[in-house]
Amino acid sequence: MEEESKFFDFDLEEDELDILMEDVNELLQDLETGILQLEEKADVEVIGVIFRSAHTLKALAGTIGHYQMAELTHAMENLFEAMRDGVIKPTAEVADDLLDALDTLKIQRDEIFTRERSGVDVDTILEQIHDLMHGEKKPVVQEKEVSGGDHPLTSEQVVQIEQYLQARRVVLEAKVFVAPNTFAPAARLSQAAMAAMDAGTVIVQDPTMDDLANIKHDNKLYLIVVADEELEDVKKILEEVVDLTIDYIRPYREEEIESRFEDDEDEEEFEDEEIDTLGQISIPDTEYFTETPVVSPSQKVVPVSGKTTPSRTKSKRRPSRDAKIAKDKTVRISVERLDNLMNLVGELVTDRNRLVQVESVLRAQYGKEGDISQLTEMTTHFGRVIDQLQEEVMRARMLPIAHLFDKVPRVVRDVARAVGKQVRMVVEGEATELDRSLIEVINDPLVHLIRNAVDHGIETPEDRIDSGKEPTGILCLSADHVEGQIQITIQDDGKGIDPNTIRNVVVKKGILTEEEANQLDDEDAIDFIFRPNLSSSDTVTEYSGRGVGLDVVRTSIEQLSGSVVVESQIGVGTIFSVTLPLTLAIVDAMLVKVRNTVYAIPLSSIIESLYLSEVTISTVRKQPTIRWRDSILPLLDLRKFFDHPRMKHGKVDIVVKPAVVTVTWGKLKVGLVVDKIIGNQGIVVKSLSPVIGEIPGLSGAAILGDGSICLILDIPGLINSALQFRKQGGFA
Amino acid sequence: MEEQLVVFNLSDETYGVNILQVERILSYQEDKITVVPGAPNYVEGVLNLRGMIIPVIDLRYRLNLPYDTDEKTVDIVVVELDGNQIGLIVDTVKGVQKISADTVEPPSPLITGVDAAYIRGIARDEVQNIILLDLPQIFPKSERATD
Repeated sequence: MEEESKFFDFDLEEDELDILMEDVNELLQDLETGILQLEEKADVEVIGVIFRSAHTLKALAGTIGHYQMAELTHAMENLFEAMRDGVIKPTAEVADDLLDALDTLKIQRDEIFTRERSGVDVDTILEQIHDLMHGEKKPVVQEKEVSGGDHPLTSEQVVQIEQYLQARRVVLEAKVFVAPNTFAPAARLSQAAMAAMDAGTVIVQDPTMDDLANIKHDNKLYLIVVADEELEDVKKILEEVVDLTIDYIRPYREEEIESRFEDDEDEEEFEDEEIDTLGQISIPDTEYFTETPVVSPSQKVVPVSGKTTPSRTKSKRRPSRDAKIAKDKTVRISVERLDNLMNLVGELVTDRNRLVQVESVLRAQYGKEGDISQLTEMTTHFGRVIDQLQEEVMRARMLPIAHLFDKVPRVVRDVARAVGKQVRMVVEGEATELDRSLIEVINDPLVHLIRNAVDHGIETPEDRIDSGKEPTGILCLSADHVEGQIQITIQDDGKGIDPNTIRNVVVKKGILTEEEANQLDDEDAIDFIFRPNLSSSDTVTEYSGRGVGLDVVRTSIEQLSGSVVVESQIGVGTIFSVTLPLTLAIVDAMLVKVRNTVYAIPLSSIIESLYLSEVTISTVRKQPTIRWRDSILPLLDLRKFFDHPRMKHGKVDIVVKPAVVTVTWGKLKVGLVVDKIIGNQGIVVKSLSPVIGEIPGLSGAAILGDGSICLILDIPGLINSALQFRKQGGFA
Repeated sequence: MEEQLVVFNLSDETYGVNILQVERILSYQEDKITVVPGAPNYVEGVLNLRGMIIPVIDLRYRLNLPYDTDEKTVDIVVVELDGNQIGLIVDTVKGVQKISADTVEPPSPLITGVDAAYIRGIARDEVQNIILLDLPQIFPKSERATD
């Protein structure tokens, strides 16, 4: 309420935040995609989409009380409208300003999250948009007063209103007030203004949103609105605001616009749509249900209000029944819940394995009689159901790769503009689905490859013309399912990579001798661009910058159990192919060293860790133990347990600082003795090869940042085999 | 009918596997291999091959061949079997050789110390006998089955 508070006071519950953010992010993405499309084709459809996105965003911002955000989206909305009416041409400069505005919106989105004022400069952006609308620099403040209605207007407001009248739009003026003793009068007036914004485009608002936010008002609000609806509808909307009295609402300069009602059919191109969505834009209160239409699984799921095509505007005024039914068939669920679900399924899978084990022991002991055969049957069925459950949960985590691809055009545009290239993007296979955790982690490597392709792959327009190509390069980004994996390719039609240049660099860097380098076939030579030691800057220009950070790209993709390869032909172009698994099982783990091998212990089973030097070991019934929180904790020395004939006993090349990591499974607790604790890390679980089979105490392996392999401890299995390993030890 | 083989030495004998089963040849680097304690004895360890974790098999051990030769292990032949890559440690890869199907004779335990079950046949040419390994027999499905 106070003018200079550092924090926002949003009308937003914590549990609504996630879902609101989803919506906001989606709308911002739609805006970005649309704004970038404007430069290519500014048709009614594209403008319609961004108009509605801005509109919905404005409504969301208004609902929670982020008035600056509402104001900015409102200005954008006006601009889009002017664009649709042909008043403004979407030039590159307009797109630049809109992208600036979008960046500001993104900061404001972050403000919703932090609730802290970022101090982002909204006024400059508003001024830019204002200038675009009116073609010249004019102060935003109202200066010259011209008579209009019973409220003073600036000359430009009058011009604006006249433009709309000429375009045969409904222009309304309204005056509303609240009683001085009303609770939170400023909030009520804001609500009224927001309601008016929902009903159309607000041209004049006195007091402004900022004034209202700062409680500068005299309990009255004057509005001039370019309405998307009839006067009666707007009036109804205003009447719904609590404690608000409508002084008057009437067509602006009625005498001039009397004729307009006769032939307004042809101009309701896309406003109708908004009316459909008006009732749906509020944030869901407690439920996770939102207005999402049912779409086939391969399609991107977007809110109705976000991306309906204008062709559907036939359904006037109210959402169609179909849309209502569809709405109830989709549920939006928070990522956290999905993750919890996934973890629970993971636990079930472990239990299933244990059950199978117990069942086979019992069967071996007592044969297939009576209860045992029933147990066998149940175990099999249980196993099958859990497998299906796991698959379904996995599938629920899948998202179309469009979530990733949608961000790319902006990157390409920015890089291309910065380095003076002309690039046309072609995107294929956006509907390809992959695990959402993968989408998050693959973003950076992918963006790196794309920047690289624009920066170093595609030539400047001059060079392209010289080599007989079109001045505009083509960058093709595609995704597809290949043999149970995802394949993403980034293909440019640029100058390609010269294997001989790479050979020279490799020799110059002393990685290979000249002879060795010449023996490399072209494919292997080009693969050297993924080598870390080739990425230093002095080699950059020599082979056109390829290789900058590509080692990082390869490492991070390999950490995700994926791979990246490159194909290139001089003068024709380069293709980077990234292959990824469909899903990822990422586990937070503590990495420890035992002899020369790194092991990963899932954090979920760790209770605590101590240095061995801090504890006293005593032997209880031949079993080494330590005292731990008033109980006796048996120790399992991994240095002995994971002994192996091939283990190099002699050279342990680490500084040993033995530690005890206390792990638990059910009621059993064991202290694992390791040589050294390295640290905690999220790892991607991969199975050991079927050739190796099941190994007691190990559940899989993972690739670490340096390309080395760590083995993942299977704690239940380990405790289990430790019990057998030292049956005589008798701990429990 | 002709067949192309990747031919390698192992304990003083020459072996071949069909080139279509071979994914690539790597040079043997002991420090790149992670030992897996508890794995079958013929498993030398696992290797990170472009983001895939593949097992490295001590083929000599698997085939029960003597260790007391002068030859040094230098290469790993990576083969693919039912979608799984497996690295086979051999002495030296000699190259690719074409053989004609009519020179292949059925395995005879008299010629080689290797279990006849692991052999598809023996290809004879002027200078040597090439023992054709039957990979699916060496790594039977039951052993490779998951779970």
